[in-house]
Amino acid sequence: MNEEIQESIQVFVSEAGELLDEMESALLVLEEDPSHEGHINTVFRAVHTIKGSAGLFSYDHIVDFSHHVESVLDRVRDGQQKITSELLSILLACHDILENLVQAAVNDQGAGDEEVQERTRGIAGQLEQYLGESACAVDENPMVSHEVLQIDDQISGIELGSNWHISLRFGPDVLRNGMDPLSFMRYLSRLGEVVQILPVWDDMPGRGEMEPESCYLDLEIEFKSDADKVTIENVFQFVKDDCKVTILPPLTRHSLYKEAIEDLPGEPMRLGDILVESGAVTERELKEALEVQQSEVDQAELKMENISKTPIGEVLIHKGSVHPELVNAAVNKQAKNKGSPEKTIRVSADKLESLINLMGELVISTANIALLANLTRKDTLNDALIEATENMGQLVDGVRDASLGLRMVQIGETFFRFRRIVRDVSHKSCKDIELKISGGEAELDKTVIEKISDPLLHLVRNAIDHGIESTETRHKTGKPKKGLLHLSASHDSGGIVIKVSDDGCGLSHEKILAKAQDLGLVKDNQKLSDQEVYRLIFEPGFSTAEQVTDLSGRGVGMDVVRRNIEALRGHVDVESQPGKGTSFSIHLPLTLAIIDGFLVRVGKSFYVIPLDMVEECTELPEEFQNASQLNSYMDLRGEVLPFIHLAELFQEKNVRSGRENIVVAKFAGQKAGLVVDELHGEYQTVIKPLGKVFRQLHGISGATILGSGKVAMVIDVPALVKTAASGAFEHGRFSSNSEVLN
Amino acid sequence: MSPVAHVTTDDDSGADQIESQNQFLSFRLADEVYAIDLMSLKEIIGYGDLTSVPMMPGFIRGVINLRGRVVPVVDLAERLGGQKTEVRKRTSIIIVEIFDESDDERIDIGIIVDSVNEVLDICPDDIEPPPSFGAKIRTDFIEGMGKVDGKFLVLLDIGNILSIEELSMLNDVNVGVKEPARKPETE
Amino acid sequence: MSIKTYARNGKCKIKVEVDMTIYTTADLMPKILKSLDKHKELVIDLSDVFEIDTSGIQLLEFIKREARRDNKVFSMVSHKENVLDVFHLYRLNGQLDAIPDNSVSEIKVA
Repeated sequence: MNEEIQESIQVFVSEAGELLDEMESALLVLEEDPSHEGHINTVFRAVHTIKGSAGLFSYDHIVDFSHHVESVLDRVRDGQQKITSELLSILLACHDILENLVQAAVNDQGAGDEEVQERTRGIAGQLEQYLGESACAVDENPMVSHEVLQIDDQISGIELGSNWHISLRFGPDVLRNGMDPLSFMRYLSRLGEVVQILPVWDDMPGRGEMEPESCYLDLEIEFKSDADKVTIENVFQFVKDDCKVTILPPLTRHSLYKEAIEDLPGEPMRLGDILVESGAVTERELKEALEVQQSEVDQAELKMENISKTPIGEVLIHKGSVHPELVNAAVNKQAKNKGSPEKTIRVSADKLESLINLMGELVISTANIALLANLTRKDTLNDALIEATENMGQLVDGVRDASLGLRMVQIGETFFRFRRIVRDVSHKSCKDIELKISGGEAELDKTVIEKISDPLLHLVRNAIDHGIESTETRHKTGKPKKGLLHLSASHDSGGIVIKVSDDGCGLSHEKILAKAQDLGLVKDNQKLSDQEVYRLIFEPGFSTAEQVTDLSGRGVGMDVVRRNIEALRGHVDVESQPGKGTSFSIHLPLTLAIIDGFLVRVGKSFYVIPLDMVEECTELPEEFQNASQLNSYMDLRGEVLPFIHLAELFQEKNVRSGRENIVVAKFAGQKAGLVVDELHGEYQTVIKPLGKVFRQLHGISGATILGSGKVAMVIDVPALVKTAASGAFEHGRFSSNSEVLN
Repeated sequence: MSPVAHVTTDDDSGADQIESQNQFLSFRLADEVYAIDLMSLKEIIGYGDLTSVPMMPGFIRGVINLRGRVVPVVDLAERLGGQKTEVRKRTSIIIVEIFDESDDERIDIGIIVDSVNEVLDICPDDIEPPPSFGAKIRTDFIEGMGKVDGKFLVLLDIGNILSIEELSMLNDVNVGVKEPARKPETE
Repeated sequence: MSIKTYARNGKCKIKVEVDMTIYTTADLMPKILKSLDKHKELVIDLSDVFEIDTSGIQLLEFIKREARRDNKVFSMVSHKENVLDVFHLYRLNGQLDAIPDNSVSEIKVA
């Protein structure tokens, strides 16, 4: 297979993956609320597009299967088939099979292994029931399915309705103005066959107000004709000011309009113009829709409200001028033409990775040049050089932000993936669980998102499996029958907090403690606070599940969750209230690669403190200068500020010079001081991972390379302070092992 | 930090495979001569510009900047149970590649040696299993005893010596109590 | 006069003698309603109506609705060809009795 084909197959796979994701989430929305009928179009579009692309590669099994799914979806869209939960389950199963088939196809496995084939046949059988008369069978022989395709089209030709539907709402003065609806109808019958007319006099008033000269008539007309929309509309040209005319083309015309939309030239066009050009909407309809749109905005302005315009496509659909499907087609066409923001370019992750790496090197070199330029300041008065380097520095900043932005993706997509898992798992465990998602628009580095989804999955499964009780138990304890699982994301001091909360039974202090004592993590006579006990679940080998189920507890413990999160320079907290629920908060940095840092010197080493945590810097008060106490506290304008003496902590003793400074750091609502020897100011920092050897090291989140080529450590302030607060430095390893260290 | 020598092993050169399996790099460390399999060797650089990492055990000397990457450096003598290596004129850092089984990943680690000697060809027949005792270092740190010019030479099992599992665990095992058990004493 | 009214036993037949168009309906409506109010059954004879437009159709629809509201019997008889055409256009054929009705003819009241 040549490389080009290989590459396009890769594109097919990733596209199909995205479409299947869309399909799945649309189905889940429908399952929650079947009134969101528009989502069935999303499902249809996904299946249809996959079918089309699969056809290009001759993946016949995918084409065949998706064709059957499509046929069923067609019936749903025509209103012949209601959206039932049973149907949605089958469609979800179809989604899974398509996923399998795509995988099988690219692996050259045809219809997949025995199991996949078996399931495909099973689901196809179920689909058949929804197709009523028309035969549907997944057959190995593509010829047969082509016949099915023709039959389907014939049936739909009749059933889809080949008639125009014309609605006329006459104004009261039509008759007085000397016009008679009769004449329009006579004229209309010259263009085709009036199949059905339904006069409606719903607006006709009672005896007191009845005016025989006013017109109270509405007409609903089924009309069969080959004329185009504009010609039909022209019939009513003379009455257009006095009559609301809605003309809905026959459903059979949709494909023609769609083709027309597709065939339009590839120039950027407004949506309305696309629809008019294709004949799906007339100029008049568009004009009216635009007026509606404008009047909404005007009204909102009157009320001093700030609203966003209703999209013109929606106005047209609402007015009944056009079928949603055609608006979709036009939107797609528009997007294709102008390459709008929704349309994206696929870039391989490797290329992006290498760009970011180069960017990192560039940032370092720039820092180096700036350093050199500043050195020359003293020797020669080369202002121009300094200015040039400053300019370059700003540009590099911009390029850095832009290139990092390339990797930022919304976390929502990851969250939405869990809807399916929650659905399946709660079905399996006979629990009724609602998944609430908020803050999905928060953006995170893609590499972070990729690495966080496994730990998240584990927490979600745990919550469903161990957290939320069975429906019965909940009922007994007077809780709402439906359990709630809440996934949320929000920004917090330069990072992001992802929360997984449930309203289940909470963590059991006693059980965890008992288990910890069994494992020897805690001595029998130790008294621990709830918080300390809850944190024990992150210890290796810890799992309180009384029985290992299929859902969670498959060997991967919470310690792995914690380790994965810490590897991302993040940390995880747990809160729990017995009987009320448990909440895990994962704190993560926005990006792994580059941060704004604050460079300080401690002893003979340099350290970087993330700038977004630095609140202020000040000279250390006289009384604390050259003290050798590890931790202490001072009075910061009336506030108690605890601080850590970094030189003591890091055993950087010998090189004290000048007066010491204190960096006041703020994070998660608390302040802490870090005593350093020298402040070197802001510094762009490319964070390099320290690697696995240092994975147990708390308080240092990574390293960075300075302009001089030297390595500096990046301080993880929350972890450092946390460890200091726990007293680990004093009572634990460091002070008592200072001989070992030096 | 100028490279003293740049030796690379090329995995793709299949013809040399068998031969290179029997090649070792010998070096001097605390008045002993050891050798490591050339397969795990990536490059040798001079000692310099090492940044210490606080709160780590002594045999983790720190990190260096290896062409933009941060690479940890281990004091091999101290890791083998000896004294901290004094930096002298010929002190070098050998960058070796360790395979971490837990994550199926290759990791570069630098080891400090007093001086690099030479590349030795030792044929498999001349390699004896490690003695069950009598060597000055842990038995699992020894891959075998190579006979060169009638003398035995310790061939180090660099994979075991620099086992990621152990290097990172050592924080806890050697110098600390487990975290949760420690907390109550302070609160 | 635009209509003639014949009545017997609470049954009333109105013969419309003018075209039923926008020009006449305003005049016709009160007259027909007056007869409707007096009788239990109303038959409208359209045999002398040569032209009918939407306003006329609308008036008939209105009378029919009023009659039905008061639980009275309402029917229409004896229409000409072009009236029938209009009825056909509005798909109102079913509401007409095709056979001319003479049962209450020639009894003049008032």
